[in-house]
Amino acid sequence: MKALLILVLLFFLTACSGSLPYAEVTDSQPKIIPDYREVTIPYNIAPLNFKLPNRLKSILVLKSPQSEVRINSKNGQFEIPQKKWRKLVEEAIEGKIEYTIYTYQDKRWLKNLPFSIYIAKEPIDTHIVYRKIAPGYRMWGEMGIYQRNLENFNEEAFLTNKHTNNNCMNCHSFCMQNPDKMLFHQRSTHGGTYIIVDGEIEKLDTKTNKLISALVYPAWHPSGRFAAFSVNETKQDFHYTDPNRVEVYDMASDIVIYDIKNHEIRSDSLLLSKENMETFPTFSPDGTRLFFCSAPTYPMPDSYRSIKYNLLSIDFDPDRCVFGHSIDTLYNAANEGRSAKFPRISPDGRYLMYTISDYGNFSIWHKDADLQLLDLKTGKVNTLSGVNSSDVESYHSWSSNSRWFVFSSRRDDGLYTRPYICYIDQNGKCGKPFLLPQKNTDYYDNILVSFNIPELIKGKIDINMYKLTQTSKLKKSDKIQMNTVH
Amino acid sequence: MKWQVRIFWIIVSLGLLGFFCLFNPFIFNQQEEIQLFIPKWSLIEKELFTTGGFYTISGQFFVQFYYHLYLAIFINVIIYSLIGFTFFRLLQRIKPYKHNLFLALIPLIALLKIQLNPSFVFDGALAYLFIILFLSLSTTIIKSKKSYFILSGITIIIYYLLGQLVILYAVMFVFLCWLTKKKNWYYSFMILGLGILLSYGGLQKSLYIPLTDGIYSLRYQETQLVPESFLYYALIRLTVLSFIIFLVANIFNSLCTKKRLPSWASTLISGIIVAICCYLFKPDEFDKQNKLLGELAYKERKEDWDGLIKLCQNREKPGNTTLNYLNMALAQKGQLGEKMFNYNQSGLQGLLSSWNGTYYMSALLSDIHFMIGDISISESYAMEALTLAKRGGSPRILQRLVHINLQKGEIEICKKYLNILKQMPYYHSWAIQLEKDIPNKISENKTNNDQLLSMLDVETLWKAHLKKQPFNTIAFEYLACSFLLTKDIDKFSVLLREVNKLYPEEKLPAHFQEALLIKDLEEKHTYLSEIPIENSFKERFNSFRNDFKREASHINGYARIRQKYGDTYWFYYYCKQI
Repeated sequence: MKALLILVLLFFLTACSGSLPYAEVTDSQPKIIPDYREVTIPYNIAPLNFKLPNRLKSILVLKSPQSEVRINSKNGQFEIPQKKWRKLVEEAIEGKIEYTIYTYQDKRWLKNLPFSIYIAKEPIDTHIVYRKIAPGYRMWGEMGIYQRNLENFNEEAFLTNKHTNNNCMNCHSFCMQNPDKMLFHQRSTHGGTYIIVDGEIEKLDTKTNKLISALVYPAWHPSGRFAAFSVNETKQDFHYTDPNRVEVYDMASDIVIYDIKNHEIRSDSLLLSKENMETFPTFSPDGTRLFFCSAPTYPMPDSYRSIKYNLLSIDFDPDRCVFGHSIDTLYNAANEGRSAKFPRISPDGRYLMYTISDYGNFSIWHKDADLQLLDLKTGKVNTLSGVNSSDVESYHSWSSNSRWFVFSSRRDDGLYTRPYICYIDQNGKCGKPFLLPQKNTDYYDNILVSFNIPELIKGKIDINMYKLTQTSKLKKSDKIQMNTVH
Repeated sequence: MKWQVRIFWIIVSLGLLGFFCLFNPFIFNQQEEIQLFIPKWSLIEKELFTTGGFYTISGQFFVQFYYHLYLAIFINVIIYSLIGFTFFRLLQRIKPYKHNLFLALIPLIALLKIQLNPSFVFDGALAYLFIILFLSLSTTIIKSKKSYFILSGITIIIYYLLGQLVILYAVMFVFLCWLTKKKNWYYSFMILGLGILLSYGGLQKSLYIPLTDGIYSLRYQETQLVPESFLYYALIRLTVLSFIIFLVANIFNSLCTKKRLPSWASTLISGIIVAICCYLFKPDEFDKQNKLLGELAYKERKEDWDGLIKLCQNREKPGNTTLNYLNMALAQKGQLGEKMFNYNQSGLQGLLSSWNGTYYMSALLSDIHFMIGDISISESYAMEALTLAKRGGSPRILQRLVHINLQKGEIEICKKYLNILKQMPYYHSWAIQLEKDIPNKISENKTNNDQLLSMLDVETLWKAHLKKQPFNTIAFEYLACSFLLTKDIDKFSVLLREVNKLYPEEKLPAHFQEALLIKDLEEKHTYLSEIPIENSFKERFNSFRNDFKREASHINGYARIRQKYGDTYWFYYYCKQI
């Protein structure tokens, strides 16, 4: 009787603890979607939920140095509980979590070759901001700027055009990843540049007779006192057979500086030339240098394939708001044969990341666009072969600690832009990038929008959307004048 | 009265059935086309539990069945009958009289008119039904002061289900309480206050656009990218109309109760009011035009080319969009060059309209360009249509994009679209079948002759198609017909000379032969040595020339020429002003 009782007890205990099934061992890693195999992640990231390509009954075992978590799935989709995930990653900082997947097929269990996810010691900024927009050509539909907490799956709308009479909004930009100091544009209805500092909203009309357009691509000066902008005359066209589909090019562009304190636009003749098109400004982290791209002007659209942008820099004196007299070339397009754009410098000042493609500047539509990394200390260029794919890699931004960057990629289907996050250590070595995780593993399959302009920020933008929409609708724009050209 | 009421509402339902069959079926198709609704819990859960999400999800849930028009009609007959009957019950609760039967039809008639507008979505009808259902319930349970507190709880539920439409419910409730002189009616302001407070709170959290957006003009509403604005527009006006009906019902009730007006008279007057409303709210030219365009789009979607052509017959002055559909159908049947001028063509815009930034034009142009072989242009319009579809996308456009990307060899994006369509009940089989066929359907016809489309005119683009094998007859006919429509006989004849040996058919289409005779005449009969023309055309052309000379100066000459030769290119060339 006692033996029977013990047997029964043992039976139930075994059933409750759910021992792993007997499985044949395979010699291949399973394919998972998204591909999170061997990626490097921050310890404060939300769980990397994923699914198997086939809807199979399966088991996932996650092992950190100290503990193990098992997740069963009826259909090959794994949503990892957040608390358990947090515990695992915290135990595995500077180490790894081993993933073992068991799949049930053809009436037997298979144990796939394990893979690992590596946990970096440096955290990532807690939020990412992006615009979600359909990859339309001329028209736009619903769109919005959203902020997503990277530590969980919460996504909130910062502003959607449903609330602003269906206008267009873009070019959100933050001063040194500070959510309390930002700007963005609205176009069409309620048009203007909106500067938000510590909850106070300024609405600016930046179109002047002296400039070819209102202010476009922004870049904050690290002090927050200035913001550099390009002004662009932009056209869009379509390809007859090229798989790139769309071609966006500038007919003309210049760079100006907006003085936030004095409410005036300034520039320099070196940045306003008619013979060249200057665009994509960005400041160095110490604020003493402006980096930008420039290409000789050609007749357009006939010469669209001839436009190749150099990567240049010029001194900037923030006290007097004046530029130096000479321009340095960091990337010579004529020599190198390709075109550089979107220069962004890591906050520690060590690296300059930029996008490169065969020609032109609107690289999200160029399948050959890739990221490259220039070591400002040594002058070496890293082609980031482990980061780039055979499709578009384009817009990118840094985390505040310079150890992470997020970039736009169309590697998944060639049309819809997705945000990928990548680790970079102090020596410039990059981990394998990973797709922004979502709670629902089918999320990216079902949405028909692109994630545009991903920007990492140190916290949540604390502004009420209602206040923002009311300001957009009711507040009169302050007209800005252009005052000084040196 | 019960059997009379039953018969009355059966007749109303039959009337609704007739109305929807006559005016609506293709509008239902249009509604289904502009929504991308995947009935999967994980996708709808979030919105369902958002304030006001219930009625929008319900609306989209029903609209997915509009794929089958008879099902759409059935659903709408049920819902609209329920609306009418519930409104009647509400009026009966105030005071039971026969005139309520007719008065209850008035909001129904107004709603039938509103729903003819392409900006309207079914959610609006459901929302109105919920409002009057709750009104009916609320007026039933009011017995004492305490019941207002219970109603406050119901108000919160209504707010959750309908969002800030709770204000419309609350306003109607206050009005009804006052009108019917309920005891302690002023407590109803508590309901209104609660509704306003909840709505304001939601606005502060930007859960929805303000209800006051519905006050703006119809023109404003039709340009909005989301349907909510128009729904508010419609429901605010329905609310005002409901007030008027309650007021009229109350006046009639009072007069009948005091014997100042016999019951039969109030019923008669109500019937006359309904007749006037039927006249005022009858479908107008705009609605008829929408109906036609909806039917054309439906037949095009079903590839019912014969039906489409038949629809355009006997149209005295078809608009450009109608001609685009007609010419497309003729091209699909291989009859564009043969029969194009049998219809009243009006120039190049009738062959290929300018894009006007709307969903329907984007979809049409995408289909035309795809048919011709302009894959890039087709894709650009398809992407515009997808962006402009008011309810998150369009399954029909996704189908088009699958075909386009298969041609381009972009398999991953095909799989993405197919994966979405697989989750939609009426597109599931289509998507599964196409998925199986993917390896067989990748187009091999890639070309490296890239240029930007702004540097290419349509003529150059379409000529490029003629160099490919097999011979692109549709592109040839479109190009040739574009020259005919602009009366550019020189370009037309050069084209004919260039493709003469490539053209696979044994004889040229009728209108091409007619046009060549004009060229031959202009070249003083030196032109036709290479390209044979049938004798019947030559004879008829001679006859035309004689008749034209004779009739040209007469008052009714044009009409006589048209009657005899209106189906020829000669009539278009010599008589039509473009």
